[in-house]
Amino acid sequence: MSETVEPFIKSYYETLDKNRSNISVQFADDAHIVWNGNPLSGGVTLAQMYGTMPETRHELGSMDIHVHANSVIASVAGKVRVGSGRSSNLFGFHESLIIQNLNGLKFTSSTYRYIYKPRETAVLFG
Amino acid sequence: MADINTLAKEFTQFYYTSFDAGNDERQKLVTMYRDNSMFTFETFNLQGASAIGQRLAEFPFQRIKHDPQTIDPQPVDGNSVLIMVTGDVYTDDDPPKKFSQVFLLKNDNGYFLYNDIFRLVL
Repeated sequence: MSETVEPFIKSYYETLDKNRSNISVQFADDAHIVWNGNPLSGGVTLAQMYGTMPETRHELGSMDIHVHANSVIASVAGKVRVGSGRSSNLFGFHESLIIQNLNGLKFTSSTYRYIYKPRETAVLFG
Repeated sequence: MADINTLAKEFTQFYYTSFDAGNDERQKLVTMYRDNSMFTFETFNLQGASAIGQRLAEFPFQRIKHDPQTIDPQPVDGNSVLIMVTGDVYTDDDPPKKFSQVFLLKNDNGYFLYNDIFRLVL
């Protein structure tokens, strides 16, 4: 399972950036999601939430994968640009994911956080 | 299962206090790992409590302080808890760096650390 997990995760960020209404298919129906401290249930709710946000461009920096018998834990970190043009903001991000094979690979858990530079205070959204 | 927010807070407090207090205290963390525990520190991948204990004793810095800023716990599979921590970390006289760490605590006659993944970010 581990060879297919990496491309599965990479394609998730591509879909998120280019075609974000499609991200729900990569999640289990009852996936546990926490997005910057907000709990969401299932990929459809996550896609809806992203629908209200400006566009994103993720740049993956590191991906660490631990393989268990029936599940894989991944820790992904990198940068994300939110918004476009002059009003865009660049953050670091970190996401921890659990992937299981449920008739195809699915995310069953996702925890996502923006990471601000050390000691940075307020960041304005455009 | 105990309230996972309390569990996550107490665990992360214990982990970082022990880690930051110096080599002897840091070795106390070894009791939290078992033979099947997996540990990643930046690009180092290790398995098992004794290999991890050895690595914990070999860090190049003299002083370290973690300042966790976000702690997100999530229940997994009925008897495990996934905890994602982000924050600042200070080593020796270096400027602060951001870190993110993922813990998977599994309940098997008491909680142990099944996975521990640490990365510096930015």
